[in-house]
Parts: sequence; C-alpha cells; structure tokens
Amino acid sequence: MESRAISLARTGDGRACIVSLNGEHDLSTIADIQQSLREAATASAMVVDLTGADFIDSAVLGALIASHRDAVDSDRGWSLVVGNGAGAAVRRILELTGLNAVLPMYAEQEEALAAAEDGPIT
Amino acid sequence: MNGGGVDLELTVAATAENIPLLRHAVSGFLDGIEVTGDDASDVLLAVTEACTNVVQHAYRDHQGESEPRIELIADRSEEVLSIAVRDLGHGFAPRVDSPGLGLGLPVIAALTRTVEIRPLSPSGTEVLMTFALGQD
Repeated sequence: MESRAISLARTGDGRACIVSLNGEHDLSTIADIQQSLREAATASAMVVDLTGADFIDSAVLGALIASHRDAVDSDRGWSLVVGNGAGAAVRRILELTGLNAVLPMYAEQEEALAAAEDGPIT
Repeated sequence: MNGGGVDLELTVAATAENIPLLRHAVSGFLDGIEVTGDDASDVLLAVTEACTNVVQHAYRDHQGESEPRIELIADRSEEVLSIAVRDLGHGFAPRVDSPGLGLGLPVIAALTRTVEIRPLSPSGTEVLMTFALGQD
C-alpha cells in the first residue's frame, strides 16, 4: 500500500511553513491534516503542497478551504502547489469544484512560497 | 443488482479507516475489468465521496441495534458500470453542523452518468451510481 504521509517543514528563516501531502488522503487522514495545517498557521505564511498527492477528496478540500479562509482572515499568506506529480484525482476534484480558480494555486513550490510570503491573496 | 456481468460485493464497518480499503478494493475490481486512467480515477473519487457520506452522516446518533456498516456492490455489464453504496442508517439526513462542505453529492453527480438516492426498507439509503464505459 502506498504511503500516506503528511510532512510539515519550516523554511530556514522561520517565516513560512510548508505542509506536504503524499499518497492518498481522505476522511481517514483528515484529523492529521487539520493538525498539520493548524501548526503551519503559526507561521506568517504557509504553503500546502499537493504535488506528491495521488488522491484527495472533498473532505480534504474542506480542510484546505478552512485553512485558506483562516489565513485570509488573519492576514497571513497562503498558497497551494499542484505540481506535475499530482494525481489525476487531485486535479479533477479541484476542477470539478471550481476551487482551482478560487485558491491561489501554483505549479512550483518556490513560486508558491514567494507568493505566500508576499502576503494574503484573497 | 444483477446485470449478468462481473460483480463485487463488500460489507465493512462504517469507519473512516475503511474508506481507503473500499477504494482500493474497487480499484482492484476496475483493474480486473480494464477500467483505467481517468475513467478509473472518476469512479474512485465518486465511491470515496459516497462512502464518506455514510461515515459522516448515515449513522449519526446511531443507537446501536446493529453495527454501522457500509455495503458496496459493483456490477459491470456491457458498457455500464453500476456501483451502489448502502447504509442501514439514515443516509443523507441533513445536519446543520455538517463538518464537510456539502460538496460530496455535487461531486458525485459531476462524475457519474446517473446517480439515484433511494431509501431502503426498513431503514437505510442506497446511492446508486452508474458510469459510462468506453466513451473515449
């Protein structure tokens, strides 16, 4: 079975946190995702990287939207990365729900990080 | 369902931990009937959303006369794949404190050829999804 990892890293200067989801995520991992998103929200900017994610569902999207809304409300930067490695299901649900046009989304982590550190994008 | 095709039937406890188990079982079933790529991806997403709905909603306030369960039945016949996800609770009963976005059913509707939600007797709900195969 594939790994279902959630990793949390802080940038060298400590200003931003990067939450990376790898493998498949759904309701069974949502509590751990929410915990990582809360921890990342202690930084002034955060990036959620789905490049290594093979699968996410609407439960995961709900957690991402809540995290984004919280960042906007508290004037913190927030960006999403969906790189080439992301699974078809990841892109599919973002497109179906229209969230690819709502969430600040980038193909590269560096680009997303720079945008998040520039401040909130609503 | 019995369309004379290939079947998969599973019953598991209605827990979040069993959602990936059901998805992987359906994935194996799809491999076996050579449904792959985006078609398979869409089916697995729809199945996951239907199972998530059962775990989050169907057995809320369940009193325990029976173990909360998810039943999944897949049937492939000709160019149509049918997948039923059933609960013995109260299905899509609305709740004002829903932890989700309410996106599950719209996502299912967007991924399927048809979707029917119907009550089961004496209790429960069936979400019957059909997917068109071989449309590439």
